[in-house]
Amino acid sequence: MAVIEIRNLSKHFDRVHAVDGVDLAIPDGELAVILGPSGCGKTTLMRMIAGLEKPTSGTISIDGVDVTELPPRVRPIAMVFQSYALYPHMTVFNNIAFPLKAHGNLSKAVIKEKVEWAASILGIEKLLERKPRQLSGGERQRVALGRALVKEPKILLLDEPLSNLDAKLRASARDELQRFQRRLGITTIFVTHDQIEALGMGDRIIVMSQGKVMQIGTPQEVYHKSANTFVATFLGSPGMNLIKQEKYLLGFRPEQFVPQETAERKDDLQLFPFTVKRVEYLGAEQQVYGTVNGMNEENRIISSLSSETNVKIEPGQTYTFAVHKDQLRYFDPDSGLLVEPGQMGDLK
Amino acid sequence: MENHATQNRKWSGRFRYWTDREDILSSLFLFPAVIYIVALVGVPFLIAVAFSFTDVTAGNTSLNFTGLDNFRAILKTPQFSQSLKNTISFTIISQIIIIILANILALVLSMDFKGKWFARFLIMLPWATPIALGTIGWLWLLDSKFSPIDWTFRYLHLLGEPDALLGDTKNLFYLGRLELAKASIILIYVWRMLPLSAVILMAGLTSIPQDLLDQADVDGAGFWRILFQIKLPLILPIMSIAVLFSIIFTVGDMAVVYVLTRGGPVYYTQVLPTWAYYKGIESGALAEGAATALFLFPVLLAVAIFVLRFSRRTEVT
Amino acid sequence: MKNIIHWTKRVILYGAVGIFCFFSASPFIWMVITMFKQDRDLYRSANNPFLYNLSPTLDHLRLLLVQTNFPVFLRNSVFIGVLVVLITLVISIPAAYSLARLAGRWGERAGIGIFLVYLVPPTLLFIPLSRVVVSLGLNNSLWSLVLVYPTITIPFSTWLLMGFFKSIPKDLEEAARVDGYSRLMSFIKVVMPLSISGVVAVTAFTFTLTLHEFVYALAFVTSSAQRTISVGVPTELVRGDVFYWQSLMAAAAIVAIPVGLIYNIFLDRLVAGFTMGAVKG
Repeated sequence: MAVIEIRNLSKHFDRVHAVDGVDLAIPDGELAVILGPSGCGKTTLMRMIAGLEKPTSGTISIDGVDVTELPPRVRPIAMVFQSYALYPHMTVFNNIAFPLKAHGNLSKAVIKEKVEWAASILGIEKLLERKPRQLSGGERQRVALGRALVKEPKILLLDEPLSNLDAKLRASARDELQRFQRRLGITTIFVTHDQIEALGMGDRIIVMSQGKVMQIGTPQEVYHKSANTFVATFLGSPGMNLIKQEKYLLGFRPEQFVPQETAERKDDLQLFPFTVKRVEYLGAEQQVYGTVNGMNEENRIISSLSSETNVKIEPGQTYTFAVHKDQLRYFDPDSGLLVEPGQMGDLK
Repeated sequence: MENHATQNRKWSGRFRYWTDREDILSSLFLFPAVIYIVALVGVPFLIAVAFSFTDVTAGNTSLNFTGLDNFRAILKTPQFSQSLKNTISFTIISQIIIIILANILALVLSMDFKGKWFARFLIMLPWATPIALGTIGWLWLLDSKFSPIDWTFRYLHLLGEPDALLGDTKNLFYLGRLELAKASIILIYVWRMLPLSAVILMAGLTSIPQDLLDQADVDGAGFWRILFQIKLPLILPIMSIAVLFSIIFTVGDMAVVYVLTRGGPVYYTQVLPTWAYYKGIESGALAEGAATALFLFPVLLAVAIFVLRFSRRTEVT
Repeated sequence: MKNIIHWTKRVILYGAVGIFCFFSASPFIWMVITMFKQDRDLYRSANNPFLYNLSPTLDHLRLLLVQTNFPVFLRNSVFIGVLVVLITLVISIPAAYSLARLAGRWGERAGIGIFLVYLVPPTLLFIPLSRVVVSLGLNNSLWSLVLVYPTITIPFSTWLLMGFFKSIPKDLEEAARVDGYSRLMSFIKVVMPLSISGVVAVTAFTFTLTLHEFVYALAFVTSSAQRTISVGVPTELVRGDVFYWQSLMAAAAIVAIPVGLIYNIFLDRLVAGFTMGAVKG
């Protein structure tokens, strides 16, 4: 069953609709990622789940209990802040023990035991006597996680917890965080603007834009069956190519747009005459910028090719590029929504 | 589960979580301060206004409305107009000197030199110590007979000899001669307010991003161009605040005049606060004293509004 | 050549520092020189006033501490200062927190209002307040000053503390709330321990403000035994027209120099507070 259920949740700051009518249910043990560009309302949504922000309308229930009106301290949640928000005047031990002391009914021995348990899970037993300022970014993140864990929350909220780490550390932290979540089986909501984190870690991804949920689905679903043009172009780097045709928008991903001779299958190809304007070499891959002939000049198209490819691509030349027909996506140009090719008849 | 739910419903009465409610806490936290200020600043202010329209005295505290009589009466007295003139001229002259010196001092203090902490300590002393005590120091420094300044002048043969530059008397009588007494008062105002203005300006100078100054340096701007075209425009908002503080503390001060000259010679160095004190407290004419003190208010209010507006308008970022 | 320019700059800089220091410190230097002088040395206008022509003496300091009311003034000032600091902290800490964090945009305006109250000079209010003091039966009593001084110190301290509270990351309080504490407890458990240095600075400034105050102390208190330093020294230690200059100077120096030291220690925080409000105001 769903641990957390959100119904028609909205938050308005003056005239800005930060969160606008969100419905969401997250099942037990899932790692759900809320993904969106900055300002899409993802952090506000998480803060409302935590109880730090009061919704303008709508309800949030956790484990079947309506918590909409309850302050954070009585919700069965824990949160790791983007800044980690470690208390600078307390040692690591006291930081982790802080949630346990909130109610004042745990003995010192119990507190010590729980803090040591959390510290051992995260491998920070040796840091317990230090102050936060003596810790590295990765260590701080672990302490913040430890502080969240000792509460034994039903839901763990993570607000961009990796954004303060440097790029190299981020990859290992991602992996570690995911394994850790699997092991404890704790329902986790992870907010990020980084699609690599989202696609790599999430059981399901909730894509948000302008306060609304655009799509909820597994990483494969949101990437390959993007529900609308926003999701299609936001995901992937670069995002999906869109070509305006008579009745619909035709979409295909840059890595599926390849020279005809390198296409894996030779049948069922949709061919495009592709005039190359610029080639950008990015190490393992290269990105080819150009336009598709016969189409509007505005249709700038990108192809991502392996640098290893033996087809030579030169600017100024026109090549025949191909996409497999089953990789083509069709969007309604007015609503931006995905439509099935079979429905094309209806559109005409 | 059911149990948990009903329990929560039972508890979520309106004030169950008052320690989490920002609206309740914010009023609760602010309430004592507001009460204190209203009771002992707001109410007295209204009383002052009320007094100034009545004939109340320390001996007879019944309030009889007399309209603008007090204001008419005090406007007629030469002491009042002298006090008003002094307050305005002392303030304007001292502010001009302060702002010039404070800019120089702030520049000096923002540079690196040995013994900076001690220099800053000495420079801050006039602002840090009680002004009444500082003024006593000046009173002795400007003594009519034993002033070391006079002694120095005499030593340099500038004073006390038939053809000396500063006259043939043995002393200059700083506080006995009208112009010198006024100059002495202005000097002490400058002496007292200079440190505060300078450190505020210094904070402004140090808050200018270093890369901006480096950029100007690279662009070939010299010391003076950087000073006048970059530093001064950028600290203009903070400078206006320094001026505001300085004006308010100068206009509102009565210790300097009270300790140094007691308004003399005769009444020629009275300022509004001291005159209000002599009237209202020493002679018990509460109504006229209150009316005199109230003359400060519209002036100060106008200055404060003007400076705050100016400071916001000149703010670049 | 470069060396010469460098040294010229240094000389100008140290010269300027020296001139400013001398200007600021001259009354204090004069106080310290005077306080140890014998009468026969001091009151001879032919003597070089900057030197000890006769050996220095502690007589006048002794006179000040034993035969005058100076120790009483000192005790009164400390008594008032401590009480006013307590009242001020109790009232302005929550008020500042409320304005900094809880009250939202409305708090910004109220903060500016508080700032403007600080700018109301005592000279505007001492006449009506003297009647308030009389009607409360506090005239000629230290307690009148204990009651009235917070009207100066509360706005000032609130304004400074607002700056300290604003500089504490909001995340920390929110983390505490998620960790199981109420809004109130997160303030007490997290914000307060982090504000100790700010509170210490505010304590120092509040105390010095009470020492500085002159107008109310002059207007509300007339008997010598209830006077404060700021008023007692310039009025009481002057008997008729004969000034006991050495004792007077000693009295001023004994107070002025320690207060100046305290002030200097916390100066940076004061300036930060002043300008914070100023720029945002």
